[in-house]
Amino acid sequence: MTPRRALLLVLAAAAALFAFHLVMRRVSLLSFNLAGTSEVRDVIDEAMRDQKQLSRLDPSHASEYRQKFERVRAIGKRLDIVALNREEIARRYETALIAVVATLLLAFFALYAFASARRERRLAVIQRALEALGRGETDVTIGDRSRDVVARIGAMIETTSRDISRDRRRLQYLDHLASWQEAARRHAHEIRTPLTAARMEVDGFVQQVTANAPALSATALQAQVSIHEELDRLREFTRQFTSFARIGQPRRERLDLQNVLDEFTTTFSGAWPRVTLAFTFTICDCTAEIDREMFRQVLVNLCNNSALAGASRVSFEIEEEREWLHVNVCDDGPGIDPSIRARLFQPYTTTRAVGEGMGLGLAISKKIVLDHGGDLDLGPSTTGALFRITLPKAARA
Amino acid sequence: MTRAARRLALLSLCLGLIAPLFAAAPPSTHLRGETLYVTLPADLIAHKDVRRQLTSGLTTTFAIVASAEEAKQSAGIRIDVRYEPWDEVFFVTTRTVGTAPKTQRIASLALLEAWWRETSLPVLSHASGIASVQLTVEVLPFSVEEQQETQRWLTRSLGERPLADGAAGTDTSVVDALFGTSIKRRPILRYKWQLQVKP
Repeated sequence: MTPRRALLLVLAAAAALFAFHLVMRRVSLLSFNLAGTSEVRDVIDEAMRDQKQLSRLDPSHASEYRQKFERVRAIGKRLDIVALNREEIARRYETALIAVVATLLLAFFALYAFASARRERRLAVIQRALEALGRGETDVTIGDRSRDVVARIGAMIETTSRDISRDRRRLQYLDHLASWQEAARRHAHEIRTPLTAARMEVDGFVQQVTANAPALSATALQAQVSIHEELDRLREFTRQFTSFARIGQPRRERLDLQNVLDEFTTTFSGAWPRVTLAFTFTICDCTAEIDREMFRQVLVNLCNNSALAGASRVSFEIEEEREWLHVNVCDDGPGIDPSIRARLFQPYTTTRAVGEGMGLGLAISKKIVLDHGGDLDLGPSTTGALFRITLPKAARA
Repeated sequence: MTRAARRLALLSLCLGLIAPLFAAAPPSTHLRGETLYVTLPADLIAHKDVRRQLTSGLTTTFAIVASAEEAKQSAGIRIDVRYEPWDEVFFVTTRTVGTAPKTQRIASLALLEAWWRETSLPVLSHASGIASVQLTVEVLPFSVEEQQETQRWLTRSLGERPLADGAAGTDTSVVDALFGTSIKRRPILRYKWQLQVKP
């Protein structure tokens, strides 16, 4: 609170007290003057005279009249004494009321000063948070849990900070992934060209051997089959490289995630013979703008991993959090090896034996979800693995 | 209010304040043996405020204090005058230090004034050799008992809780205490004389 504002408040309070004092003085004196007015006194005197008169006229009830006389007289005496002290009584009355009002005003000012000081402290915290945000720091926390405007501003800054942090991580990941995609594209290109040439050379060589040395033709054909199998494996790796390098941009449409998941669990119920797919319906606004095929690919990749890890059940569940939808994909397998948790979504990260997978599934899935404006994370779980797909809710139509 | 009216009001107020100093003639003193007696002026009881108070039914108290600085003596006398409106008589009780209170029944205001003029009050018991004495007279409008009874009544009227008529003022509520103690016996008139003692 500025000194000028404090002075204005004190002056306003003093003016209010003075006005209150003037009004109360009139009111209190009026009430006491009414009690001591000459009309009241005359009525009392008359009542006393009447009782005396009655006593003389009706001596048999003299004591009764005397009692009434004394009662009226006592009231008269009290009013006389009050009239003699009315200034003092009125002053006390005003003092008591003014003390109450002054106490209330003081309490109000104390509360106001306390609230002002608290608000200033909270604004200083917000200012420091904004400065931190300006310096490029992310995940800024303010920790104000009140419900007023300042707290709401603080919450907005926290949300903005989290959004910036998430976007920055997303961009870093996509940049990193783009490098890997470019490398994969070049490797695929470099391998594919000699692979075709090698296949043609082998086929030509086998034809020559068959034509010129029929005795060696069986051995040559057997070798051709064997070389073709190895070349096919190389072609498959090249295909995977190409597929990783050419992840397209999603073509989004408004879809209810509950319907998509329900349909997926039905359609793919037999895709992994030893795995049961389960989806739990919830009541929520689960509409998101997604590419159905790409989203399905993400789910297939996750289910593949679960099946290969030996899980027998994969369950799907949707959670709603303000403008976000979380799809939790949880299995009952052995969980994620702690040694690869930190780099789980990097390309070529796998715990499988060489030749059994290239470790691109999660990287592709994460890129797809990021391209949808969401994220794919590993969630906390005590049993099995829990992946959380976060997607923005669709804007209301 | 015009300026002239304000001046008149101010003058009236000043005159009202200083009037008691000139209204009453000084009391007369005389020594009888070693005791100094004082006879209070008739003007005092004839004062309009005193007269109105005397017939109000409340107990009017005249508190008289005499002090002789040279002899380091001081003594007091109290005269309580209570009008009984049923019987239309005055009861006058005189209290001096060391003697029992003496109550007299006086049938009318004229007789009371006569009694007042004729009564000599023994104010100092060892007054031989005293040249002057300071005499203070205060006229109190009601007695201590009447004060306490009205305090109880006022407290009971302002508060929610009923108090027994005979209960003493033991209520500890701040508000009750605030209003209960607002009834005070302030003198309606006060006189002060420096008197020469005539042998």
